[in-house]
Amino acid sequence: MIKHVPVLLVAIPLLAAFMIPMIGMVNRTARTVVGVIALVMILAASYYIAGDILVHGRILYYMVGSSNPEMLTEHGLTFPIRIGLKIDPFSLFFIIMTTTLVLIFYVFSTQYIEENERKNYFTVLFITMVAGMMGLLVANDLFTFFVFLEILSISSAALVAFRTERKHPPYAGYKYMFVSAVATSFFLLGVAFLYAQYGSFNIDYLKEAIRGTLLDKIAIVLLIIPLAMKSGVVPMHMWIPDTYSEAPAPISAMVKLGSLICLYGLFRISFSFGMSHAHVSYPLGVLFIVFGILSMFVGVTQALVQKDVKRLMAFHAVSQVGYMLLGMGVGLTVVKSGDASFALFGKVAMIGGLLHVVNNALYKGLLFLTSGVMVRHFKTRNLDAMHGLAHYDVFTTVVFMIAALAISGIPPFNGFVSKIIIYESVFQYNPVLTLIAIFVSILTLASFMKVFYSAFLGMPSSRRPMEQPVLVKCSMFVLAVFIVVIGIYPQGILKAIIEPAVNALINF
Amino acid sequence: MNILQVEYLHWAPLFWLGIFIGLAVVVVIIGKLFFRNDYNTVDQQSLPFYSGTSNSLLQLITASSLYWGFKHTLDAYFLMIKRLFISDVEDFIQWFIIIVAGMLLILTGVLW
Amino acid sequence: MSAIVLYVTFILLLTIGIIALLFKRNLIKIVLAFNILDSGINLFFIALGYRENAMAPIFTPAPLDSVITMVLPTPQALILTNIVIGFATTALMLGVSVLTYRNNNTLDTRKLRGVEEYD
Repeated sequence: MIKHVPVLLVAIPLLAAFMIPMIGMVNRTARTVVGVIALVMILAASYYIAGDILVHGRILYYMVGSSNPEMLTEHGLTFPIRIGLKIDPFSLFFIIMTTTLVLIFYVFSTQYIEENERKNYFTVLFITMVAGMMGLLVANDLFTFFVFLEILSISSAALVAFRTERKHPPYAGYKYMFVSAVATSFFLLGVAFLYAQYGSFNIDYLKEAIRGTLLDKIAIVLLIIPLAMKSGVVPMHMWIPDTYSEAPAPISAMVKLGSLICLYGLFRISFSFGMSHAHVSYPLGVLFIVFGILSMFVGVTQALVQKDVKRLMAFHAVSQVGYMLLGMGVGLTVVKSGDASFALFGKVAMIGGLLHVVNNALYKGLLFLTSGVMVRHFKTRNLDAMHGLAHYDVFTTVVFMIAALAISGIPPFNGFVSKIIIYESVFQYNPVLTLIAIFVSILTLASFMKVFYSAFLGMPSSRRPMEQPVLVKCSMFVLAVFIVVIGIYPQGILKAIIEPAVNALINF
Repeated sequence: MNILQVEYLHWAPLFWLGIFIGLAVVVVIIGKLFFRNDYNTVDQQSLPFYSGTSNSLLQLITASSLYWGFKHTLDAYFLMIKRLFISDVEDFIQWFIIIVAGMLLILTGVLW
Repeated sequence: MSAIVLYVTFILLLTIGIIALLFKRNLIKIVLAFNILDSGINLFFIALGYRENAMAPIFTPAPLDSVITMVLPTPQALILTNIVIGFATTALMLGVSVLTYRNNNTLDTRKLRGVEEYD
């Protein structure tokens, strides 16, 4: 049973997505229950294989359609020819994070999106997005990766344009679809260059065979920059505020999770293909560091002056991606340097970058869900028109405070853990980077103090207070609990999940 | 270096939280014993003091005017950012092409 | 000689597509430009599998030990997938353009900017 999990992770959401419209026409509660059951099943599957992979160090391979799925190459051939799926500790880290968060966001959206807003379509597209994410994470094959990236982009764009009666969401959906389509077309061009030289799409085979010629370098650039654009790296980041601000609140959180998964693709490709020789990995690492610093700084200075609450949070999403790129960039720069600097601080920088990924998914998701509650309450996204929510909605105030302190890097929440790991390891590489990162953290705190001041403090507004539904509160509570637990006891997740992930990334 | 263990400082946030709560309890106890009790919170004494002649004392400061000093100082920088990053559809692709061209030139060794 | 013609056509399509993406302001023209770009990339992939004096990769009732060279079939199968993906993308972009026109009465990207910036 355990050897079929890679395919089940993709097949169960797809099957549920095709069954839901027919069930939804009959009975509404059954549709929600089917969705929840599908997501719980993939959550259970991912935790079931977690013990096996992390403890025994096993890597699951699966060749789709062959008689013995676990054999990489067919009998008598020297290179793999089928669609390959693979789960190793680095993918497993992202799979666990994704399945947990997707279930929480789905539970939030069951009671946040009203029924007369075409909830059938919403559920189908949501579960298709989950199928796309899962396919991206288990793909061992560049073309499978591309197909699932397109599935994720198309369903996300349709969901961003969900509120079609207003002026701006359809154009935001157009922008998102356009950016994704051009990015993935250039990705396909990079795949074509690699295929032209080596004749195979399989990432493991290409990792052995890649030589570092001119066409290889062109292909690596064409593979990495589209994924960087989809993750929101400055200067290709302006589509992110336009898109995140017009989408409904759980969809903003899901699209953010999608861009973190594109960051997974970025790290996988740059550490598989870019690590072959030192004269490829060193410039690539330095470019990652430059993009990281630029993203952090431009993102947060543009966020500080915004009036729109979701646009502000979207700019912070751009800025936090800079931290992850900084950590992994320092690791990539010193990984082939030959002296002891990788063991000294490079690996710790990579651990900090990966911990920042899961921390960011948690507190950014919580911030977007809280902004959804605020927008639902005040009926506007303008911060000038909001005041006094803390007088009658104490739960949202506490939850927002936890998320805002976590993103600014205040102990004892989880943002502090990952940020201090990144600060200390990057300091040994170059002290100026740490100074810029600390300054950006201060500006992050300033902008969230602005949001907290204007939306929660002040006079109570004259509206009647609205009680939030139970599932909305439960999902926000679970995310806040995760934030606090990882902040107080980070050694568990660091030793058990993240360190094997970094080892799998640099050794295989 | 070990993760989260820098020379002598071990990661123990529960310890810090315990110390903080203990100090807070000590401060509250000293406050109840030694501080003044005749501070009334319903009179004019506790309202914020606004200088000038404005009609309503409970005027609301909007969020967009909070960091005006910071923004006014860096006006040149923000003007440059606003001119560079427009939300037009073609400008996304313009930056993408510029970065692809730049990275192709750098990584293949022509420029650096 | 024929392979060079295919690669030159690919470069032309890529250039036309990118220039049209950068300089056209109508939403529908941008969709058309993306389709040209996509066609160019599909052409490149199929041109990779071309072999001189080869036939289509279909098994015929010829004897097994006769020397027949065939064109590579893998890119052809994968390009079918890409064509379907391009079709779905175009359908979604055109649908969303119709909604944009219905809500805003314009299809010009300069006029559609409409985002409340901080000034």
